[in-house]
Amino acid sequence: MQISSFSERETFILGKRLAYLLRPKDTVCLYGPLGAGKTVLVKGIACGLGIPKEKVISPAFVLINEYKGKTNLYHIDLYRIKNIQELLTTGYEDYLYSDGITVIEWAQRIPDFLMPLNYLKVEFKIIDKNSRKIKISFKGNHYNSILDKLKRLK
Amino acid sequence: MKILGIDTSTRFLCIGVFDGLDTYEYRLNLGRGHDVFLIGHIQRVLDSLKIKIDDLDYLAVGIGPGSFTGLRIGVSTAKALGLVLKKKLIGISTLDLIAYNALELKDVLYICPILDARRGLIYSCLYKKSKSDLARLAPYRLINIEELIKMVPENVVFLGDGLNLYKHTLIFKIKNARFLDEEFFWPRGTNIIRIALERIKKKRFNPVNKLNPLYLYPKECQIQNVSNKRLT
Repeated sequence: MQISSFSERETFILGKRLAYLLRPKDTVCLYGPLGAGKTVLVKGIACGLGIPKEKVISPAFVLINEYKGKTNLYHIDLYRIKNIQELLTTGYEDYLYSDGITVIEWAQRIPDFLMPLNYLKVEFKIIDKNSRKIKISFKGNHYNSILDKLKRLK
Repeated sequence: MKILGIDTSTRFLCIGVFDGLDTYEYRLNLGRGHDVFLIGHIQRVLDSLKIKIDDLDYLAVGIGPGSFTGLRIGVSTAKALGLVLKKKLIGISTLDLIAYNALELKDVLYICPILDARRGLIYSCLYKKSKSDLARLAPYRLINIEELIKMVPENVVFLGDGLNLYKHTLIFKIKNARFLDEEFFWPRGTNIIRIALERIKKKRFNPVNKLNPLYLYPKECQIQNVSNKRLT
C-alpha cells in the first residue's frame, strides 16, 4: 500500500489512524532516512493512544523510550547500533512480545534472523521538502486486516 | 544455615528461603517489572519469616536462559547483595530449576524443559533422573523445534511454556512423550533452595565477578557462550 504525505500533519494523522488499529503485542518497523518523518509517525501513534505528543522524543541516544497510555507504547531507535553485539545488549526483544505496542525506528539494523516473525513495515521516501512517499507492507496475516481497514479509512 | 534464592528469568518472580530447617517459597505472576518489585518482595518475605538480611549465609539466583532484562535484574540484585553482605553466591540455570519440577513425579526417566525463546526458537536441555537427582545430558541450547525432535529420546517428560506453542507438533513426533500441566512450567523457590543446598554440599560457588546471566544467542550471531561450559 502506497500513501503520499504532503506535510508533517498528514504523517501525524496516519500515525493516529494506525494507533486505533494496532493491538497490544503488535510491532511496527520504520525504515527511511533521517528527517523522513519516522518520529512524527510515532507521535501520531502516541496521540491515538492518549499519550501527549510532547512526551514523544526520538530515543536515538537512550535507545528505548516507554510511554504509558491506553496501551503502552515502546519506542525503540536503533540508529546508533553498530553491530549485533550492541543490538543484543539493548534487550529490545523483551519489548516485542510484552503487553504493549512496539515501534522500531531504523529496523534495518536488525539482521534477518533476529527480526520478529510478524510485523508491519512502514518505509519512508523523501520526495521533496514537504512530501513523502510512505509504503506500508506487512509480514504475518494479522496485519492484513489492519491494512484493509487503513485503506477503507482513506 | 540460611539461604535466600531468587529467580526473575520468567514472568514469575520467585523467592525461596531456607531457614536451617524448613524451605519457604513465594511466587508472583508479574509479567514485566521485576525491577520495581524484587527488592520489596525480598524484604517482605524475609520480614515475615523474621530473618534479617545479615543473617543469610548464601544467596542463590536463577541465571537463565530467559528474559534479557529479567536476568539482568535478578543477577545484578544477587551480585549487589553478595558484595555488600559478603555472602557466597550460587548461580543456577533456570532450565535446571524447571526440570526439577518433574523430579518427584512417578515413572520419570528423561526430562526435557522447553522455554519459548520467541522467533520460533526454544531454550532447551535434556536431563536424566538418577536416584533422587538429575543428570544433565546436553548443553543448554537455543534451537528450533525440528532440532529438538532429533535430540530427545522416547518416554520423555516435557514441561515449560514452550509447550503452549509446540505441544501439538511433539505429540505426533515423539513416542510415548508425557506433557505436564501449566503448574509445572515455572521455576519454584523450593527448587532454588534444593539445588543451592546440593551445591553448598559440593562447595561449588560462583565468585561475584564471574557470575553472569546465561544468555544464549542464535548461531548466526557467532557469539561464543563462555558461561555454558562451567555450570552446575
